[in-house]
Amino acid sequence: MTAPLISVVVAITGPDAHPLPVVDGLGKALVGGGYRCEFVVVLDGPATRYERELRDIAAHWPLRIVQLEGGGLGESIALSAGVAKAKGDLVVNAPPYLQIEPEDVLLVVKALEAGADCVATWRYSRIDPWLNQLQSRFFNLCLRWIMNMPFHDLNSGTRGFRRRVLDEVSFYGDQYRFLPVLARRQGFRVVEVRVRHREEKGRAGFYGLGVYLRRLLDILTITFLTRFTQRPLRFFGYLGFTAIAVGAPMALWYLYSKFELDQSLSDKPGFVLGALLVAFGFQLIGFGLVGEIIIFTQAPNLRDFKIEDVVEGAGDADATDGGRPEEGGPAAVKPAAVKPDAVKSDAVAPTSPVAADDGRAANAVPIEHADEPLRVRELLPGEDSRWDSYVSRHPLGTFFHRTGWARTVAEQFRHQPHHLVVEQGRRWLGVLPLFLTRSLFLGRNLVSMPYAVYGGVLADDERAQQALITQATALGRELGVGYVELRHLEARPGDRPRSPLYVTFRCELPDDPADVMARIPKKARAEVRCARDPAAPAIEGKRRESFGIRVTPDGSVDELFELFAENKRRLGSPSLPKRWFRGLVEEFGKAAVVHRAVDPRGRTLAAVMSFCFKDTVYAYYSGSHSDVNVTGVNNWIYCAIMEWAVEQGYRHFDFGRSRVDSGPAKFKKNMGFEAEPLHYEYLLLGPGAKLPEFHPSNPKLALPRRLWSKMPMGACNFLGARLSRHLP
Amino acid sequence: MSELPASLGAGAACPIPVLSVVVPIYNERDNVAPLHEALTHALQQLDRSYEIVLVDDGSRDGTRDVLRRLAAVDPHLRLVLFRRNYGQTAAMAAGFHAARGRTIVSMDGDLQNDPADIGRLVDKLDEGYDVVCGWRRWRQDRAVTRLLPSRVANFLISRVTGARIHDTGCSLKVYRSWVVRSLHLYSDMHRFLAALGVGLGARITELPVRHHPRRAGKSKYGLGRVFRVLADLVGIKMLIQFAAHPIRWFSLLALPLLLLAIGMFVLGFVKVRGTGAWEWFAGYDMAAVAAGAVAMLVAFNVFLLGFLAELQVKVSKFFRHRIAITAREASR
Repeated sequence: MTAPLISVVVAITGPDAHPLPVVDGLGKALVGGGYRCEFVVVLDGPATRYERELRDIAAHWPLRIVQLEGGGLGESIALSAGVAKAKGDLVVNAPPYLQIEPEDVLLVVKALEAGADCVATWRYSRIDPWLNQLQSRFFNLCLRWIMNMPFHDLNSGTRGFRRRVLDEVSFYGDQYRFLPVLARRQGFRVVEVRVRHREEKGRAGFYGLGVYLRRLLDILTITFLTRFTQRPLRFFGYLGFTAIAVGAPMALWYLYSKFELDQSLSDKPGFVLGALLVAFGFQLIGFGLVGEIIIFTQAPNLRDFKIEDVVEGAGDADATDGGRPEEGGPAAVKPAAVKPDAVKSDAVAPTSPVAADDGRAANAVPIEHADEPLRVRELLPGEDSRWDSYVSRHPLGTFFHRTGWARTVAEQFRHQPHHLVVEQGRRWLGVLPLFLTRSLFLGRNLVSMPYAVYGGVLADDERAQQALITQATALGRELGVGYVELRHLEARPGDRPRSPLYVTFRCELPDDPADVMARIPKKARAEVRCARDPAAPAIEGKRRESFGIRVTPDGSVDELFELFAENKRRLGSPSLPKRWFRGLVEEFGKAAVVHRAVDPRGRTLAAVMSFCFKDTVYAYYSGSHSDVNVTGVNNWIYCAIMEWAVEQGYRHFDFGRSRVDSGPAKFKKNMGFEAEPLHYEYLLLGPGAKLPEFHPSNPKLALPRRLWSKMPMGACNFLGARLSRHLP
Repeated sequence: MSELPASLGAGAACPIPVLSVVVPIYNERDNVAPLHEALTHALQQLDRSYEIVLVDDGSRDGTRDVLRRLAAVDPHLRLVLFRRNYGQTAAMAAGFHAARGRTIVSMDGDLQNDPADIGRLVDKLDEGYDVVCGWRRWRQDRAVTRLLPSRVANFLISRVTGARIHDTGCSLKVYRSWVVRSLHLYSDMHRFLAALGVGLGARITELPVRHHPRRAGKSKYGLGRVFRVLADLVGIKMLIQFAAHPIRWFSLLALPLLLLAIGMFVLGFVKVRGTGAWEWFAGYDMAAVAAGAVAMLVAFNVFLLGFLAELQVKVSKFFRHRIAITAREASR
């Protein structure tokens, strides 16, 4: 087994940094300890003064440099950016000078390996001036008192953690130094390790007032937020109650003195104070109640536990040794190799190789159930995780097979799901997600999957597949549908009526982001360069209007929708409603990414929403400005998405479906992709049923399309939202 | 959910269970196997198909290996394994989500509850209830300091929430699936499941059950905890009742303050003579008038917060979602 890879992230935010000794010292210590290491240096500001040092470093150590645009973004962002680029599973955050003795970094790493998720360091033999030490002690004392966390030295710049801590814990501004606190609050294991102090850089003496205020505010914010998201009424109720308990006696005493002792209240500020405290107490309780309602009504969206695995019991009730302990795809095939997105995909990527390491599973012979009948039934509530597990493991499973897609479709368009499962005994042998769609234009049909380009049957063998298809046919007849549409990506065994309308474009991604450009044909490459580089030559015969366009994965749904809807209107098609896109992002979280192309003035020229699943990135919804004749921005944004995908560790890119010989299909071919026929199959059930022809290139739709493109935007959006339900 | 043709669903070996038992487990390596045995034994005596959902809440003491070994030989077992420790409520929520049966049983993983009681609880459920709670009538705990606060808490909870349950702290409860699926648990809500059920309109009752003493662990009832329970109680009461309108609660909160404010305002215009007689409008007490005015402002403020709460309820699709689930589940 190869030595674990430790990523050391160094953020350079100030002027007094010396990355070379840090890298050298830590690198030697780590290598000496038997680890592999890589360094990520994040530059939060102009880089010129460190160029030489960084070049020296790069000559001896594996180094990646992250340059933050603009600068002055702070250490929290720098840390997040650095970890995003790091490849190792264990991360050590070090300040840009040798703060601790380099060998002590091994203590941090060993603590991580021993099972901790986050490691905070405690410097001893402090060498900084006594005033600083005093302040530091005071700060940490306050912290321990307010937050109730036993950390002694949160200002120490050296920390260690696992990547997934940063995935789950959100922090911003100056909160990076509270990372161990936040992590512990969220349930991670955090330990403190004593390390020898070596040198300290930074201001001696008192800091400015602003610094103290900011630190105080940070402490309050963190304490407050954590408690607030738990049960706001507890926190506010406690404060409110205390306020009332303190204020009421005060006010009552003065009232008593007014009535019994004939004293006026005017010169008794205590009365006012008491009364105000009581009023304030009520106010606080009111806030607590509002907080409770907010949390309560948002609870369905807050489900934040991550499931590592769902295991189904197996074996006979009486047998003492039995078959396989886990659900699986194809029978004897070892589950697909370690997926790079096991950390990225949402919730249910199972770590099946771990189970195999138990020793039993890999060698156990599956019990022959050949004589047991196959049974097809609908998916039960409670089996979502199991379904997602199955799709993850099946080699043909796509993003659109996930229950998340079905949930979003059901919620946004109110179509009825009829997910089918075929099982033998207790083992699942196949799944088929279906939706009953009722459309004014297309009639009643069963579709797998609506609003998706892929879907259809996932089965372990042909027998299971046939059982699913038979049941789908029966279900279709029972529901009175015209046809059952199976949007298969790859061919499935058997012969059913097919539609030749669509093709798809996919490719395998290279290992190095730089190779992405190399695979694009020359003409498209020139367009990319034109869009991307300020100094590229203009393309012969085309006017170049924009340059220096950047592509970043931080687009918003609003931007995407605006561009998408505009494009659709121009083409004469109804657009999906904005709530659909929002629903997708809400459901899939990080698995749905919006990239946008921004020109130097900050204007978003194009946006693309992509989905990430297993080792594939699906570029799906896109839109770009029509009124700006920008050369190559569309080529550039897809190229950038592919490079991003490679950096994130994905191996496949799916450019999406297009109609044969359409404009988009030609565009994709020009980008170097090959058209692959799709295998959309139809089980025709109703009398006189035939393959659907309701698609934009149908000549009957030419007039409606022209009219649509002339309508105002607001009307298009309104009608589009209504019509989308009928265009699955 | 459309019904499949009868021929496809029937059969004694039908794997879809009618009864699901959900148990959150955290670092119970030595208790898991006896628990599983006791459960299997108890459940096999009932005349229904069952499944046991064990949720491992990030145990690090080897519990997971024991669980996998058990699952390898028992087809009735299902495991949900968390990546790390998320807490008992999250574990229970995950277990409820993964459960398939129409009747769901929740219990503790540390052998305090006795699986033999499940049968009686389920039978009681069939008599026409939606939630049946266990009642640890003969508590084995030693310290009075634990029983008394617990008793007081239970009394308050049952009175306030209308759940009329003597022992809300007992984890052993049986539900119809629609109750559980309509609820979204977070924080420490699993203690208030019965009370929340009342809010849904579920019929709740209780039955005495056996209780085995907690092996180790300190008593968790202190003053701070009592306060927390009280605060939770107020919150839950409001949450249950706000199916009507949250603004009612804010009015309830603002009203006493408003009355106080008016009182203080008026008081500002009274001067008390030494003889005990009151003189009206002889002069005015600036302090009292000011305090009254401010208190009145705050009272209005609190009242207006109620509108904010109403807005939040409207904006979230909470009730539509809940109604949809309840309707679907109730018709299963």
